[in-house]
Amino acid sequence: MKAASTDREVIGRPETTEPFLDVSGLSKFFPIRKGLLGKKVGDVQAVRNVSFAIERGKTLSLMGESGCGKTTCGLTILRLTEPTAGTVRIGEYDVTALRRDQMKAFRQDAQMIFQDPQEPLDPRMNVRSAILEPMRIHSRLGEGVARLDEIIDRVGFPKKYLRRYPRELSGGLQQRVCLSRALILRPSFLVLDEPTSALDVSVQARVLDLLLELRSELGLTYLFISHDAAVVRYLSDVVAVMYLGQVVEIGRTEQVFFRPSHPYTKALCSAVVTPRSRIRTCEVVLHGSPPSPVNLPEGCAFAPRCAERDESCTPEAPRLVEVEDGHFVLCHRCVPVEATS
Amino acid sequence: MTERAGFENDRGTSSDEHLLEVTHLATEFVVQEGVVRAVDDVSFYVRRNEVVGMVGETGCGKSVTVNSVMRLVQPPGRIVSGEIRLGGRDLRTLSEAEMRSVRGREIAMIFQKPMSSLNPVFTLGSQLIDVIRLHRSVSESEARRIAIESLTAVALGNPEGLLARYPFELSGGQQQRAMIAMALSCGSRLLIADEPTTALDVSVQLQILKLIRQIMDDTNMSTLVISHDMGVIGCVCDRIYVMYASRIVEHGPTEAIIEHPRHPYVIGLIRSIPAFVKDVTRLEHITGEVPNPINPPSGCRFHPRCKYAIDECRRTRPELVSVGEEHAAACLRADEIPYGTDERTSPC
Repeated sequence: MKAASTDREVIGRPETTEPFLDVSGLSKFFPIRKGLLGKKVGDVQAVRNVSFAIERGKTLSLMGESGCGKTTCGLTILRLTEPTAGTVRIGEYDVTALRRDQMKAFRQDAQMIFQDPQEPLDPRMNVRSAILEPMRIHSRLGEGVARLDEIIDRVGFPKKYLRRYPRELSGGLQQRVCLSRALILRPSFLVLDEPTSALDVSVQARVLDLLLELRSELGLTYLFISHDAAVVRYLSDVVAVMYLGQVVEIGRTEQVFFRPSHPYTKALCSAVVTPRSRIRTCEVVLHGSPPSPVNLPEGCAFAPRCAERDESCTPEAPRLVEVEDGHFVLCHRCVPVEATS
Repeated sequence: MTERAGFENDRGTSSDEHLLEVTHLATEFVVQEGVVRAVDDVSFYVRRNEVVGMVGETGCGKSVTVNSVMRLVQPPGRIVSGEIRLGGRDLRTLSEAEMRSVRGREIAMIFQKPMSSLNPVFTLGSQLIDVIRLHRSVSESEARRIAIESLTAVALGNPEGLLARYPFELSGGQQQRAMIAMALSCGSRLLIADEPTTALDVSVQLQILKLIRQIMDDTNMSTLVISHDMGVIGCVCDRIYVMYASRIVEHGPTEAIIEHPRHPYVIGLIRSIPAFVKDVTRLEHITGEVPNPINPPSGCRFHPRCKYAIDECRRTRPELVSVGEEHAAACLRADEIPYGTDERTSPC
């Protein structure tokens, strides 16, 4: 695992293990144009200089509130939208350097699952055709037909529903169709964008465990995108917390959740409500909403909402600090591990 | 003791303490394939100053239940039987005109997407003032004062400035606060919140839940919260009703439901929630699918998915029987099923 910023290249990466997914200095800005000539007046800075890495067979989760850039980050990694800066490597693919004619091979190896399972499914295409569609696109239809039974059996989709249409299926079954479509291509990497947040809890539990099983059986690597800390906790090895396009804290799951160092992560963890929480004793630590990603605050982006801020937080932007082995925090007030030991 | 007996006994719960009391409610929808009984013999009550939760998965009938209470069920749906008593009056016997004065005035309702309840082409101020003047005979300036007062009560800063804003200029959390302010401004006695925080971020969710709880503690209002999220329901409610396949399968005080559930479905539901704790335990799964509402299973509707089901469960419909103080479960084997959930603690 590695977390890096451009100013401190390659920090915390174990020398022996080669990361499967390696994202370095990734940025994505959307220009804002105004007027007849479309003059650029500013940028929506959706993803700002994000770096992380994950080993094969592991799950890295991007967590944060809506608008923090986690979905854009996922899309940019798969080049479903072109990055503004930075490099992405997935397995043997140097994703950011791929030419158009090389994309087709990469597209088979890296797949994405979305939050709403109904949206990616054509309402006029039955389940069987929907699952075979990617194989048809990649001219592997024969292989697809041969693998169909195995795939639907693996994801737990009942064979008797193959002739049905998406609207006739429950959300859980629709998500299984989406998973089948992705897995039939034998990918090695999946981006899962809130795959269970549209599902009921009992269905969510089954899909989460299915994802865990598939990961170990098929040797998949996941980039999991979610706002739900409990789900992230259940599924991930590494967690990156995002705020206003930046990774503000990254580390192993238990480090980030149970020894959080960034005030934003602490606030997010305290806002998790469980059936055993009591609202009267819960404290609201995080007030207001994030500022606009167009006019970013000077210095630390979280400072305006931070309960622990002091004069050191502005005007200089914070750097990633390693607070313990493999646990990095973007905060002025955190003490690096070498300084404490 | 059955649930019905629970209503009539005098454990200090005389019925005039019940602000809303729904008994044996049934609502049906006539569709091409047959008749769907979306709410089947549902009874529940909400006391003054109480926050009551109704939890269940998609399609279990929880939203149809509250829409029936508001008499908002549209054909082909209709309420076929039952009583809906609000402060002693049966809402089913009211005329449509009388019902209109109940909605908004006596029972306020907020929804998952506040934006769809607000008119995008009018300012927040004009909408709030209109609603206040519709339900209370006050002058425009008085209505304006009430609007500012209620916006302040829901912790919205700069209320005067907000009145001139359009709904799309507000964040999701602010919109939901504005909806709660609208409910407060008309002096409603009951707030029905249908998935009030599902569309919001966790940090905003906590703020809104805290606000609802605080308003209930400070005023004389009651709230009925509808949600699929056991976390939301568990943390904010005093009592919980759990629905499955159009029926209430268990109800009781929050602690009893969360710590000592007795119905196998409720036990499974609680164990399928990922806990936010250090040691990850495997989730439990409820196997099978939610039954088809047109042709529900005989006897106990959960029996095809229940690992404790016996032959009797297929034949006999279980009644809600008391399993503790104000706690009832509709399971024939409620006394035999392993008790409680596993020991998991929450960091909050």
